[in-house]
Amino acid sequence: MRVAWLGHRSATGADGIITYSREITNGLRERGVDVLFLHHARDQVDEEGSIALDAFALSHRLVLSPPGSKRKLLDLLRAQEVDLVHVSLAFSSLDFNLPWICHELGIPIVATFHVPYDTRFSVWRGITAAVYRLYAQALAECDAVIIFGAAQRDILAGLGVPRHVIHVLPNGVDVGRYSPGPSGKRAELRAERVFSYVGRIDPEKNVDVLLTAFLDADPPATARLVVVGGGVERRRLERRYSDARVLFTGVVTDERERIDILRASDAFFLPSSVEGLSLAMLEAMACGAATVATDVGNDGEALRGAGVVLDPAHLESELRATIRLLVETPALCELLGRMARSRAVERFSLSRNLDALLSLYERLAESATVALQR
Amino acid sequence: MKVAWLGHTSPALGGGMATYSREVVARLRRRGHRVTFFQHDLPTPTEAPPADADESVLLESLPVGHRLVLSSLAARRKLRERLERRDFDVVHASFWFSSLDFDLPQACRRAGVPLVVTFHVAFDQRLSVWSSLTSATYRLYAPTLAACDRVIVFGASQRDVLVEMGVPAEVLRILPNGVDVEVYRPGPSDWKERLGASLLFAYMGRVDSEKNVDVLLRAFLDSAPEAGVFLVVMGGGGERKRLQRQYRDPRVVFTGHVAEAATRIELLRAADAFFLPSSVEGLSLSMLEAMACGTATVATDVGVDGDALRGAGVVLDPRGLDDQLRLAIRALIEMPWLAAPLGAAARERVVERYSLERNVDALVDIYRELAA
Repeated sequence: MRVAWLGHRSATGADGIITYSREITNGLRERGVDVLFLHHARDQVDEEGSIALDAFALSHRLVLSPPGSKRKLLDLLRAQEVDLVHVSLAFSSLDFNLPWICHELGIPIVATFHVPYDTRFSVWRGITAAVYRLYAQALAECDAVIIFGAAQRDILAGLGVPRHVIHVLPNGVDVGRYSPGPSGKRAELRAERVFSYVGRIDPEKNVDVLLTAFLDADPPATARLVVVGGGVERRRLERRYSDARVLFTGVVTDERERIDILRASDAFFLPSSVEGLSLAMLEAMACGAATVATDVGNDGEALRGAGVVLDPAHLESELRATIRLLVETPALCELLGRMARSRAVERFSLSRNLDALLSLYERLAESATVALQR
Repeated sequence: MKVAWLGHTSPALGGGMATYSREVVARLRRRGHRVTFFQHDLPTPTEAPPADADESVLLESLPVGHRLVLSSLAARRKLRERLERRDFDVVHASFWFSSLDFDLPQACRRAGVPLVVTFHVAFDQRLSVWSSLTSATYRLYAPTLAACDRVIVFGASQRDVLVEMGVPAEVLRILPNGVDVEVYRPGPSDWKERLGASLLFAYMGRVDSEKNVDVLLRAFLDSAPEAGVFLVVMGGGGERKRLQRQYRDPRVVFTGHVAEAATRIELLRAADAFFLPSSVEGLSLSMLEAMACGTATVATDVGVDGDALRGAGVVLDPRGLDDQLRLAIRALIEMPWLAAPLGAAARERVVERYSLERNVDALVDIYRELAA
């Protein structure tokens, strides 16, 4: 099977949306799928099986396609003789034309919709609701829409996306690679207790609230909060929270080192205001770190019953209480870590989810062939 | 050894204090010590059994009101006369006892009998209304305590408060409350089936304003637990009727004061978690009992409860109590598997540090040291 994958790619980014495309396309290729990766990363050398599209990228999250791109893409897909198109949304301003391009070519189209959302009242809610409404019409035209949790299904169905095209197929992590194990990080950090955050340091991630709560909980000198990631807030936070117990590592591109940090972590925190389904969280869970995350997007649903789910309306006080409890009760971290690991293995294993994706492709390709033959 | 014990058996003055007197006296007698129990003639609820002592002496008191005991002149005289008969090796008073408290050191010195005082007065070091109230009480008591031969406190933080107020460090002994870990232990209970509960939370203690039972009830109902999740409130008190009216909900059960220990134990055994959200405490006996029964325990960091529970349960900061209680309740509902390991940790902690037998051993050592 030949699949055109429209997704995000970057040499430096460690964003969830980039990881998603990388992990899924690698996994599909391992399963014998011929993947053509179409992306916007002009900085990447084209390797076999990938093509960079002309685009004006404001960032990898905001891409404007120049005039004429629609026709170019249509020609490209026809010339490449693909059996199926899978787009990881939001991809570019072409997103809204994609279903019709595919219909014209008679190729099934699958869309993964990972626009973060939050059903609670907040500034973010207004923004994400608008994005959902904007995309609903295009999603309704897709042959399959992949989302990461059941909560999203109701929102999309409410906006007119037919329920039968919606498939809950969460991201996954490689639970073999991301697994509990020995780590030299604890010794390297000279810490007895290690707490971590991994992700972008942008305002909606509430890293400042985490830092405030951590220092307010007055953890002992041997406790560390390791903040992994870069972002617009990093410098400001680094200046403001200069404390021996807090460590900013910046972006860690080496996966092995990231895993090392997660393995050394007694607990992992994700206090975001908006999320889809956080891959960073799933990775931490798979590494057996006790996991604490806000009940936003699909994160709450994914973690509930296997970790501490925080109410974003009382984030600061709940974070403080949780941090204190976890500092005082190391045994609780171990227990929560074990539960997080088994949840990740049970529901968020990459290979299991890839198998499910592949069988979805096969079903769609088969019915497309039947339709063509008629 | 012959011991004059001054204490209360009325739960109206604090169930914990009454239990302390009753349990310690019973154990001293079992070890062959002779105990004379002095208590005030308080209106005692019928369900409270009299203390089991070798001799009971009732002291007259003047009816003043809730939780304040004013002894009469006759009572004062009676106590003095008994002490001066010199048939005691030691006097042990569980404070607060009554307005007699302040005369005791002098009375004992005159009679030539050493005086041991257990200082049960709840405290909280944080700045709050309760804090100023309790610190006033501590200041009021400090000179009297300084004149005692030994003062028994529950924990290091309580000792430090008293040292700061001028009580000599050599007088102070840390000897926490204890529970009978053989009686209070995990075991079978059919209370969940009887209530039809899938998950059972419990509070046990007086239902008075400083206990924050209302905050607990609100947090519980705010968490919107499903129908099978119950909160049982065991205990009577000034607030009970109001709360019972205000929080009328099928998931909330008010039992009133449960006099029978066996029933209390069964309820604690059935409970998945025990909550003690007080603003002030000394070392809560009901908390230790719940822990001893292997119930996952959630309590505020007041008095020495925080020290006792830390690392073996969930310790809440009394500031922002609402939020934290809600979080704890939600977490226990979402992760019911947390209850068993937390309960096991609580049990282990009590056996290790708060066993009554060990507590009484240490107490007898203090008596011997003074009598020698």
